[in-house]
Amino acid sequence: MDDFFAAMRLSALLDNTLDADEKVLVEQAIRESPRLRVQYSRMMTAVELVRSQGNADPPEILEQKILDRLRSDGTLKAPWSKHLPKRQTLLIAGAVVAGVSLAWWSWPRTPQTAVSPLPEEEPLEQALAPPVNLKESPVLPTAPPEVVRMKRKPAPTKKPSFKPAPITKPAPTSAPTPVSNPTRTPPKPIRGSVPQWEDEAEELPIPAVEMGSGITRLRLFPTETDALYELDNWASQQGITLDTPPRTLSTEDNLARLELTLTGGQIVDLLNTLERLGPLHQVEPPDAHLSETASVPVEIEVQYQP
Amino acid sequence: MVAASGRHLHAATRELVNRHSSIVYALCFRWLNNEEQAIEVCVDAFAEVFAEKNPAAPFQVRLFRIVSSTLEQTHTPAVVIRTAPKQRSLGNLLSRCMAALEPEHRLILLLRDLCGLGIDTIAEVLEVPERTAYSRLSRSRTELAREVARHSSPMDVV
Repeated sequence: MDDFFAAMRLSALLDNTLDADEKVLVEQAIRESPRLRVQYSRMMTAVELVRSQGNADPPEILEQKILDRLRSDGTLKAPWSKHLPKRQTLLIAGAVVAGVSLAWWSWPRTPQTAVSPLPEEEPLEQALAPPVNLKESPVLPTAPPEVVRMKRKPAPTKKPSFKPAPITKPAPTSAPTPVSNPTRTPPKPIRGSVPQWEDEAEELPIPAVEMGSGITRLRLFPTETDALYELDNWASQQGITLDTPPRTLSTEDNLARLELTLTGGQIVDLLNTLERLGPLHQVEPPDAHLSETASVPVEIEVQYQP
Repeated sequence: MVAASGRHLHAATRELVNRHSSIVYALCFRWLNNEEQAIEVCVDAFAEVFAEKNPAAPFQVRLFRIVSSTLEQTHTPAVVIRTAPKQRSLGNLLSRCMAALEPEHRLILLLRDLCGLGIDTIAEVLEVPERTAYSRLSRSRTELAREVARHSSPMDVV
């Protein structure tokens, strides 16, 4: 190979990019020509000089400066950053969310209604009972008002009489006797003022009655002794037959009990009548059963003043 | 990665900067013999290459094309030739020899032997045919070898 062409391929020989045939020819020319050998040696030295001494360690701040420049130019941003709203919009949205959250937490809440327990399994007799005809009886189907009363012990020293018997007044310092029946609802005054002696009468053994059976229980504290007769007259005017005629009532401990079956309108009239006779207490509210047409059992306790 | 960086992905951008910054700085420093100017050219080149909206060439090619264009337009400061033998070093020798070369020879030498680019990449960077790049590299190496032989004593190059 000519020295000129071989010299033109020295650089390629250094880079090892020659074909195998060309490489053999160039290496042969270098061995045969001292001039080419010197030229190749110098070129190799120069290339080694560049490769070994040309590199320069970059300063530590270089990369940070480049990143700072890219950040200032807006290049170093996340791809979704351009979709973000402006900072002011974010602040307003955050304030709105915080306000709504605060209002929600501070809003008064209604207490949760307790879940009523599952009804107990009804007895077989009730389960097999015929269905109630709602057309004939608009009153809510309830069990017949079975009134289970505890028999009061008659006072050993008294006989049945309409005359009020004196009650032994307990010592004022003694604590009131607790009611024997824990399910008994305390009476609520509905009309008239409660006489002072009513508290004393409460201390008497009151017959226990079954509550929750739908019976309207009223307690009258008459101011006149003929309250039972007045009630009898009122019942006669209304065409109502008292289940327990007043004349057969026992007035032991100045207490008489009347049982009636009234409609809602008659109950209102009865209340007006009783109001004239004295203060009245409602022992058990029967609001759910009050109706103009439906019949409601009513029980009146007439408590005479001792 | 380049495509991801084009979509302004943070991590990809950092990786590209980390991969190319040191070699680009070496090219600039060996050309300019000045650290501050080399940093400035580097930063400008990266900012420009990342700002391109519709790149038509690979990232490396575009980056070195920008750097080469900038360096060719920059006046090369005169290299102080130290006559005292104790002050001579191979780095100074290389700087002196490089300064004596023509810019296009110096550039292709640095791109090939300093930056390690392939001939095909260099041809793309310089926007010349590959054969032209081959011949230009050969002439550059011959010139550098001549300068090294001229400026060095037998003890300088071991």
